[in-house]
Amino acid sequence: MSTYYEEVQEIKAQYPDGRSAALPALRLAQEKHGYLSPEALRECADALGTTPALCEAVASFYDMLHLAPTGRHIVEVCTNVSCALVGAQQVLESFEQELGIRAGETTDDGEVTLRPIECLGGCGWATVVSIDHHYRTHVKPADVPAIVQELRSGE
Amino acid sequence: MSATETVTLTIDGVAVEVPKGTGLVEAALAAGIEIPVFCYEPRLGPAVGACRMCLCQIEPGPPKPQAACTLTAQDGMVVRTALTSAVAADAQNATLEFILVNHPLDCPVCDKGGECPLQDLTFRYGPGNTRMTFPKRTFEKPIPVSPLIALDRERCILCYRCTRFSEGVAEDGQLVAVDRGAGTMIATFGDEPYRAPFSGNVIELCPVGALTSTTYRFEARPWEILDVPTVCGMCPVGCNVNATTREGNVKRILSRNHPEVDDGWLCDKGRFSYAHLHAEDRVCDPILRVRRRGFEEVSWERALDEAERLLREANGRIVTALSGSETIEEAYALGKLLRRGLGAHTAFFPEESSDALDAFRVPLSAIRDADVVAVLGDAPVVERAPIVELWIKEARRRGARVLYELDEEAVRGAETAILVWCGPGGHGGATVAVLAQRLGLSGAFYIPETANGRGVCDAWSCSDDAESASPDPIGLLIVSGDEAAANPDVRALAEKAERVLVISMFQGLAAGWADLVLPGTSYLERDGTYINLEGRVQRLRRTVIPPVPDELAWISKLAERFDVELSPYPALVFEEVSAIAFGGIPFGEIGERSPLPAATGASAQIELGEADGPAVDGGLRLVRYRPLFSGPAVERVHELDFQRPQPEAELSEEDARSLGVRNGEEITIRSNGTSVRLRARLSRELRPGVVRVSDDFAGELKPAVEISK
Ligand code: SF4
Ligand code: SF4
Ligand code: FES
Repeated sequence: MSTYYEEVQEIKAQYPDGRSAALPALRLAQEKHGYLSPEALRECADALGTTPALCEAVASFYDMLHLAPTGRHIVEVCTNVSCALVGAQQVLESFEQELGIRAGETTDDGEVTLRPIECLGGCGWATVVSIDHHYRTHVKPADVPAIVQELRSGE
Repeated sequence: MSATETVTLTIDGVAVEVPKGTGLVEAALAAGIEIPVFCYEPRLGPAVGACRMCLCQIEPGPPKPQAACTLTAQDGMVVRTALTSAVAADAQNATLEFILVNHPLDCPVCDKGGECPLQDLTFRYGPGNTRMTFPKRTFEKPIPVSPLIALDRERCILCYRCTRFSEGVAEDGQLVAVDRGAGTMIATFGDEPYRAPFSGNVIELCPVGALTSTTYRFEARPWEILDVPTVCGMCPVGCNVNATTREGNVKRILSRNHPEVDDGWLCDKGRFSYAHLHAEDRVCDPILRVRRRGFEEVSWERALDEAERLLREANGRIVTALSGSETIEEAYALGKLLRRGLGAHTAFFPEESSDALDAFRVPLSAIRDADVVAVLGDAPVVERAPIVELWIKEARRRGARVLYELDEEAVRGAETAILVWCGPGGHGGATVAVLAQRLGLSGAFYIPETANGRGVCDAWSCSDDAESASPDPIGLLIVSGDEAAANPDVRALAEKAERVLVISMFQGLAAGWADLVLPGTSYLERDGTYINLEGRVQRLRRTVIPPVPDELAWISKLAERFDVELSPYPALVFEEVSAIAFGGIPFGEIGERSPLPAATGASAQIELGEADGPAVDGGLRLVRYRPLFSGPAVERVHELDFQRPQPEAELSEEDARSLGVRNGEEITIRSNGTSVRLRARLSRELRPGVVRVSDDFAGELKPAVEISK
């Protein structure tokens, strides 16, 4: 079984500059640690031969890399132009109400994290909501209670 | 060479011809027109177009304003700046208004006020009013980026100059931009300080008051300061600097770009060490050892009498230990007094020095343009001559091959190959010259350990021609300067000397072992000259008046008593040396940015053995080095404490692979009997077979070591 360090060395070898492996290395670190904790970033930096600061800089740019622990489920509401025009903000607010948390937070039971997100590439089907990386399209505020119910009930 | 190709373009109706490849900002300057910029700084690499301050109307091109800083001059281009184009003026106004949306405009309490590009450009361009009536965003402030740098985030205009420096010039990757878009913030990793040898440059780069120096913060306003041009005396590079003074005190050190020497960068040692002038243990009066009562401060009159007595009683059995930080004038004066006045010819130099490399003399900037740079000698360049490391890094970014092990084929095959020798076996450059000659190199450097070792050596040898055998026993040991006073070898000599006279700035170094201590001065307090590692004679200026008479003043007084004619004025002393060693150039003509003398013809015969690093059978060779942030001055500046080396050992990637050691892992380094445990740092800048550890952590390790996990 290869360790994280070794796996990153293999990815690095595919690029002329090892730092090009930052994204896959960060994704692996996130899989290993659950999220990109300072420890995870340090481990990633050592494996890449770069600094934890540069790893954090890259990680903080991407929505799919998490610098804080997340809930078991992640609900992400696109709030970019197309979705915003058909009421993404209201969808986000409905989620806030239904879950009892603010965007960016995780429910107390650690079940659900809610966040706004940049364009998910589904502008034709606005508002797009990603639930654990699976898209729901044409989401209206009225659809929200059912979605939350679904999440809470386990499946 | 063919004449440089040029292009002709029109800027605000002015036709201007510039070399092909010239950026529009520079082309405009050539036409006498300013295109205002914030983020643009060619020394940071390719333009990023982050701030949009430079928007101009440019044809041919898309029908909207373009960022002039990202474009190069083309033949027939028509550029209209805000001066002549309403479109550009509109765009520029909008940009400035937009930048100021989040800017606090707290100029009255901001350290940058009065010397702030944002303040200046807002005054000269932009709408002059704001429509933003809502509250501005605030942050916790100031954030200590390090003990040396404070960050006021709300002032940041996100030009990315600082992060581009960190990632793309110093390559330390410590200061980064986290998050995205309007939420972007400049930060280090967590609470960790920006620990890197060149960190202070970001303060000078920041076009607003977001990054400020903790040691200069709230100390002065630009209209009440005086910048004195001088050179840094903390290492053999000799970066050109301005010392900002206020009411007779040095308040900060700024770069004063010498494009051949430092390209406008400084290391933190040179930038922040000035506080040693006010060290708690600064010697301000001569100190005399008196029987039974120990030590007592005495008047200068008395001190000179005592010095005279010590000199006479030694009867010529005098040895002088030099620091390599004396000015040429001081070393010459000391030499003249002691050699001509007393026949005391024996000197103990801090290191070997040689003029053999004058045949391969090129400016440091030549490293940047080389195809191959061979960095030999195994000691870390950055710890001895930091700026040289930046030139090497830039060469690599421009595509040069940087070798850490001699590859003769690569060197001979290159159009321009430059050798940088840092470490043992260079014999002051003599062996390096042999190597350079054999390989037919375009240029070669030897990196000495002291700032002016070469100048001191030359000055001493100019001061008289006679010689004498070393005295035994030593009647009087004269210890000139703090580095000599801190040198264990000099201390050992002192044990054997009947009497000791120490010239030092600091009690901590001088007290206890000297019969007489004469107060010393710092390079920031002296007028005179230094020779840097290129062989460039540079001018030191007195930036502030020292609390004690400088060395030359009292050496000349003492010389009178021995009928040696010696001027107390550096200009006159320099002229004596110059007549012998520097072709008679007068003091006044050295200039603020001194030129490099042409390379001399290849010296006829340099006969010396091969480079001779200590041989080690099998195993690894330990190279221990004196860290950059050490030495008498640095140790007295507590803001620099955090820059001390980390408990790390540097290993080549090859060795690490064969040992199965990972980057960041703890390893044990062992040599007969002793061992230390350190974190492994894998490096591409080290040849296999060598492991590097700073003196701070190398303990009792011998040169032959073994590594285990
Ligand atoms: S801190 Fe200064 S240099 Fe860095 S991005 Fe902000 S304004 Fe630019
Ligand atoms: S590199 Fe050397 S000369 Fe330049 S600032 Fe640093 S210590 Fe001074
Ligand atoms: S100076 Fe051109 S975009 Fe900043």
